[in-house]
Amino acid sequence: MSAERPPEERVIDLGVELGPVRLPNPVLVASGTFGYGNEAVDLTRVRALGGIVTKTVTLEPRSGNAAPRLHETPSGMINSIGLQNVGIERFIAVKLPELLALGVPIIVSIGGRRVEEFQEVARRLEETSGIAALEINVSCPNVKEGGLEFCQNPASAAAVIEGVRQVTRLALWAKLSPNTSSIGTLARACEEAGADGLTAVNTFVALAVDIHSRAPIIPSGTGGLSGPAIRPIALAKAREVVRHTKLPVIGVGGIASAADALEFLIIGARAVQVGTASFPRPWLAAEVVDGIGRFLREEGETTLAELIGSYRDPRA
Amino acid sequence: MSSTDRCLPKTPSIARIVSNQHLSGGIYRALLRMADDWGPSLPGQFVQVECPPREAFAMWRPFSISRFRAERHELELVYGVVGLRTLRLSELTAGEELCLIGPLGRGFEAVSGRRPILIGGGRGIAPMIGLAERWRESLPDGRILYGARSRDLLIPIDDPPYAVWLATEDGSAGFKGNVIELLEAAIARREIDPATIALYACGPNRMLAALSVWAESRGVPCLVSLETHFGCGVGICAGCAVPVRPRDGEDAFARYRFACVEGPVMDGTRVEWEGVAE
Ligand SMILES: Cc1cc2nc3c(=O)[nH]c(=O)nc-3n(C[C@H](O)[C@H](O)[C@H](O)COP(=O)(O)OP(=O)(O)OC[C@H]3O[C@@H](n4cnc5c(N)ncnc54)[C@H](O)[C@@H]3O)c2cc1C
Ligand SMILES: Cc1cc2nc3c(=O)[nH]c(=O)nc-3n(C[C@H](O)[C@H](O)[C@H](O)COP(=O)(O)O)c2cc1C
Ligand code: FES
Repeated sequence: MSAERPPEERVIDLGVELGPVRLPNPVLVASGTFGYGNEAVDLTRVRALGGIVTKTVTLEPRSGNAAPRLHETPSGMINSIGLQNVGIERFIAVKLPELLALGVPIIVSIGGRRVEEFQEVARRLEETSGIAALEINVSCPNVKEGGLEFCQNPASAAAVIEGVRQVTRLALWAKLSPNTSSIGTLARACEEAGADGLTAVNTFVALAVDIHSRAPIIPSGTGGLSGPAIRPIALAKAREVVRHTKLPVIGVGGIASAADALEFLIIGARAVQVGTASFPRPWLAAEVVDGIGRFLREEGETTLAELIGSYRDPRA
Repeated sequence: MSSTDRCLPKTPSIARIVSNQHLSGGIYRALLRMADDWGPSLPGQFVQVECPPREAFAMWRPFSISRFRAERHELELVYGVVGLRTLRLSELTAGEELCLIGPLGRGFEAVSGRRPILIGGGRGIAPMIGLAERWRESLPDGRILYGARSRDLLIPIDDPPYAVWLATEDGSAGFKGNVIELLEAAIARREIDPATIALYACGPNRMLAALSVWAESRGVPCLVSLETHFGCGVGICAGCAVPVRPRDGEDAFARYRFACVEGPVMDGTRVEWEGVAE
């Protein structure tokens, strides 16, 4: 018998590099779907995660939108949380130290209504230490001013990235909206503006109507659709982003199993984020990490790099 | 506690159905056998239940713990059939299993020095009975006010720990009217002194809203277990937010409280009820 270890015991390094950012594995939890990251520590092996992307933080505290904020749809849900958050001051004083103590890479998602607001938030974070990257939320469908404009218009998204680039040396990921005619153009605009990575995608604008009252179920009208329902569309969008830029892409949208995550990695995403699927199963992202390792062993692949981008594109 | 200790997973529990019985008017009582180390729990806390049919993704449903008998490891849930998940839940039979997380959230805690008046509307009576059982020794002078639409919707209460005063909207059983009118009648008869009581309530949000307004006007402490749409039940989705009147010095973030972790039992007199869905 050979000395080779049986496949189930072979240790596979799941570490991954996204430009300046190194993650222990490619599975993060998505912004707004894991609280600030410390709420769910009792419910999962937080240490097993590749990273935590925080709830989007803005300059001032925000109260968010009226209830109901969630509505379940087939294999997904529509949300309109409206960026409820503690504001940057309390985030830095209270939340960030707790997050950094978890011992996993922390990516802080930042939002704002104007370029200057994004800049101010980034400036404050630049003064802290320990953050792995900033994810710039230029794509929230649930804030009236700003958000939508940024997400639909490559020029204003680029202006935000450029503005933030000027005030910080932190790695910048631009979180892209799928609610645009060409996500490839949007991606390229963010790349040219100085982003180090691209997160694709945020939620899809969606509507549900109460047939009795004839009013929208979410009081603000439309909300953002997430969950497995969006996965195939999100995957196509992520692929488009991969094809249009050289930046590392972080795939997100409907991932609810290791197999789902593998699809994103195969089409070229360097990492993935688990979002809505954490709601019923906060431990799911940690299971996805295990599942990816198991798959690589079974497939006889020794590194994650062999898998990433191994898509056999019929267009190539 | 070190941060490593906190990383231990709190795994979901497997619950085996002991019985799943129809009580009245679309309301059921499920008795679940839990693992030996499950609990302890407080009435007013809840569990997140993976209701059938099992799917790769579906939101789990919150249900109040109406009672937990630690010595028998039996958890009791009382639920109404309103949609697909609760319908499927009602079809489960003894021996079948469910996945759940809990106990979660904040339950009812006694306001010290006050006589407890427990108020249950509809299926909301169930956790109130569990609460009364817990308090019957330490706070023996409590009362239960139970409101329902009509006699045929009443849930039978065996061996009530406190005296139960009944109100039905159509007068088909007990007092004719709602629980607030019942409460006022008891005050008029001097059976209850508003200066010495605290209210604990569970029921439709509409009832909780009216009760809270009444309690505030009388300076009576009023704790309510309220329901909003829960996405996760564990504080990570921000979906369950309840608007409250901020206190001095609190910022905009504090305007919304997460019912799943800061509730579901909350001070009803601080809730902005117009912002809570019915
Ligand atoms: C903390 C808490 C404790 C609860 N305790 C109990 C309990 O002890 N017994 C019980 O019967 N129910 C309880 N509920 C409500 C219960 O969770 C819902 O009735 C259930 O989720 C409905 O699921 P469904 O699939 O059958 O209905 P769906 O098809 O999802 O919905 C049917 C109808 O119910 C409404 N609805 C859905 N979810 C909720 C919700 N969370 N709260 C209020 N309305 C909702 C929908 O808008 C719709 O009109 C509780 C809710 C919360 C938040
Ligand atoms: C309840 C909820 C809140 C969210 N909040 C944010 C947010 O604050 N910032 C952000 O960039 N994305 C936010 N998102 C979007 C997610 O991060 C993710 O991009 C999207 O939900 C798609 O992934 P999923 O299908 O795995 O959930 C939120 C999504 C949900 C469901
Ligand atoms: S239900 Fe998700 S935060 Fe409360």
